[in-house]
Amino acid sequence: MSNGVDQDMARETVIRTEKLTKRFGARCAVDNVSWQVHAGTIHGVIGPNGAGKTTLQKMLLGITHPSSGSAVVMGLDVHKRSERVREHVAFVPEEKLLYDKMRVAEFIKFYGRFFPRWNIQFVDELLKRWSIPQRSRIRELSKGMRAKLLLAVTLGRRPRLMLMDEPTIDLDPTSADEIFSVLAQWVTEDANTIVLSTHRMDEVERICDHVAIMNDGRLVIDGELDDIRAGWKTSEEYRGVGHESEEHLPRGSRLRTRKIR
Amino acid sequence: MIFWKSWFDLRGRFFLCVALITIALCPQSIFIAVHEARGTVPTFIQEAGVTSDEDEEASFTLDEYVRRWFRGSEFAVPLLTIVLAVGGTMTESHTRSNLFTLSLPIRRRRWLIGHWLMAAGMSLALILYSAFIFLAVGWGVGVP
Repeated sequence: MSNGVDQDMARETVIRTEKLTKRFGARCAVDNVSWQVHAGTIHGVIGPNGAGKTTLQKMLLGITHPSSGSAVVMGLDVHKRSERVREHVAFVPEEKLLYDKMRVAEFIKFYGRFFPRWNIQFVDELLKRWSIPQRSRIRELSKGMRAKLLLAVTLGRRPRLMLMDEPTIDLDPTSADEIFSVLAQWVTEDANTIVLSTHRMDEVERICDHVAIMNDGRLVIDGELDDIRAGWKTSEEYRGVGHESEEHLPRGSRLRTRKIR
Repeated sequence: MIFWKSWFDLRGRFFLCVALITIALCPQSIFIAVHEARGTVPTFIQEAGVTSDEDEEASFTLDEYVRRWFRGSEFAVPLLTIVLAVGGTMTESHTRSNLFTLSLPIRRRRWLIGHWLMAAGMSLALILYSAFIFLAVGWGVGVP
């Protein structure tokens, strides 16, 4: 045990859920999800809007409490030690509006204070590379710049696991490519893990090596991407999720960590 | 950092209150101080029934006005705290940054406690500021 995190668990399984369920009144947002994510992988969680992807991520962070079931993240029981979990697990929300009135430099200073492993040099380098002015207010930045700023500070805190909710929404293809490249490199370098929730199959194809498909709060498919792709054409579940047809998937264009050239 | 963010969230309202207090108290203080110098009682104080008998009327000064002003501060501080604190982290949903805030390694309860403590501190500061206004104005118009 080091820094409260079970190192063996981090090498093996970084997320383990057992019959995790969240109900909002009569509606079941996440239904009996038992799931495992191993270190050094990029997991894509794919499903249509309302499938329960964001709720699942919120439960993994301890922001939302489950109605039943349990979640262990980085070897820590999320329900009991959510604060510690959030020290090691970064979250990139779908809305990247952050604190609009803050200047970029203020935001970086504010954010960095929460994390003992904060690497300001790395953040500065990324901001310079992406030409994000530190004196600007966050509201003055474009959506792409905000997404990059959020990614820069998130990487600067050196998390072990990153939960990302629609990370490239509103981004142009070039910015999305840049972000995916940085993420792939980050996972490769230090056996870090990403859980990326999206409704875009092409994103999963490009960066993920594992995929979980959610529909109506249920985890309907979970496994290695290659195995799942092989069965996609006959998969009943696949027909109900995503907005991209298989014909649109860019073959051979993956940035997946294990296949970076 | 919790307090810094609370200050960041609430400072707009705080400075608005400072401006309102300045605008509201300065003319009143000058008005009363001038009346005190003349040995008269402002009409609005007579009409409010604050000075009902001649003795009290004769002794009504800026000092007395300030005392009466601060007599209500036990209500003013909680009221101001509520006015200042409502919102912030709790209503970050309108800026849609609440999920990001809650993903930081701080419990929701600690955010809220920090937020309300900051608002309470600001309320006290505003009360002290109004005292400063009375003092400054009194000094300015020559009332000790």
